[in-house]
Amino acid sequence: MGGDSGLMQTGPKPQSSGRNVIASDTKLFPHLRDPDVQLMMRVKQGDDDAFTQLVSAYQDRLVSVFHHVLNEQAQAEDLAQEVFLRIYRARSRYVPTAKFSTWLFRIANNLASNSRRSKGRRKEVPLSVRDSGPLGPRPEEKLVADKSALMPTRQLDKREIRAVVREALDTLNERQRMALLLNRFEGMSYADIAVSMDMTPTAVKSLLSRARENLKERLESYVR
Amino acid sequence: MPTESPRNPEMRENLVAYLDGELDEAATQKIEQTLAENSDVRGEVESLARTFEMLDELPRPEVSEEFTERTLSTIQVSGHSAADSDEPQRRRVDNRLLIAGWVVGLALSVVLGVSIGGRFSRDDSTRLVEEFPVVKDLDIYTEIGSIEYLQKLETDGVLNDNQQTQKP
Repeated sequence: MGGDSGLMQTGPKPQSSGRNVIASDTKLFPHLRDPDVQLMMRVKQGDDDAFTQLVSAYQDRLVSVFHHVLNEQAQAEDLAQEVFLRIYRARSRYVPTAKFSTWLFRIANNLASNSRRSKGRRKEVPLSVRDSGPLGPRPEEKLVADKSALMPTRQLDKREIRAVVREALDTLNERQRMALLLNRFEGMSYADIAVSMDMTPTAVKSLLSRARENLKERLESYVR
Repeated sequence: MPTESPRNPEMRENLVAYLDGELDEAATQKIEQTLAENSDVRGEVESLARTFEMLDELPRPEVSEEFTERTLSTIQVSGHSAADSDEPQRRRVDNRLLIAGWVVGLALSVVLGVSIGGRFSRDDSTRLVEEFPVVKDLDIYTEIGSIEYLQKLETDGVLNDNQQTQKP
């Protein structure tokens, strides 16, 4: 499973079942306290209901992150499905060496990177507001483009703000977008983002700083 | 102090980390002191915070119930069958069988190749042994000159008598 197995290292495996066993293993695997890790341990033991609970808990969050990283809903849903499939396939080898969400978003990050690489091979050119294809700008882009000339004297409505933020997000590279979304949407710490994105926490600090600076440059005229 | 300028990259990183609650106590106190003293840095932090909050304006798409069912049924099919969790072990066994097959095939190819090659490339001594009965009487056959005359001599028993008299 490529980099996805990074959190499933071999080593002393947790005992099979029972609350007492889990309690005694929390020293060895501190993440066993994570309720989602406990659900995953049940999945490992063959409990499909636990897996359904995990899917329900994470599907919207996962699709949201994919949607904003890739800017495509259908692909976001396909990749989210693939994440769950990979988790299910890996259940028998699962060892809780990180929070469940960190592991899940690590798989998500790998899939998003693969998707970006295959898109790159197809040489797709990202569209900006000024280059929205043969039909011209999409309606919401046109709305923002037309009215942005009046900024900042005019207050933007919610739909316009959404389009402005979307455009600002599109100017970031994919790694910056992923780190930013994990930070804002998932409330993940630098250490957890580092594990999910296979980076050091120091590198995450720099990446997020650049991302936030770029975002500020794009958006600050709309917040004054 | 130049390090306290919001344009300083290290300072910028620390300001963002401060907003995210990622600095240790000493670094946090240092930033807070700078914020109290420097209005430029204060403005920078406010701007960073407010623009970051704008991300909350982005929609959070929710998947349909059909997505959940589709996901779970896909996993039931592909997760339990071809993509079963024991797949790596099964794949390892398959790989071993494949390698064994290749080894046997290679060995058979070598044996077959040697036997076929041997047929077409016998050495001179083997050929000499096989053709020795003809070679040893080559002088007689040369003098006889034709197959018909050779057959007549053989029919008359002359050739056999002659060969016997030549034996030591």
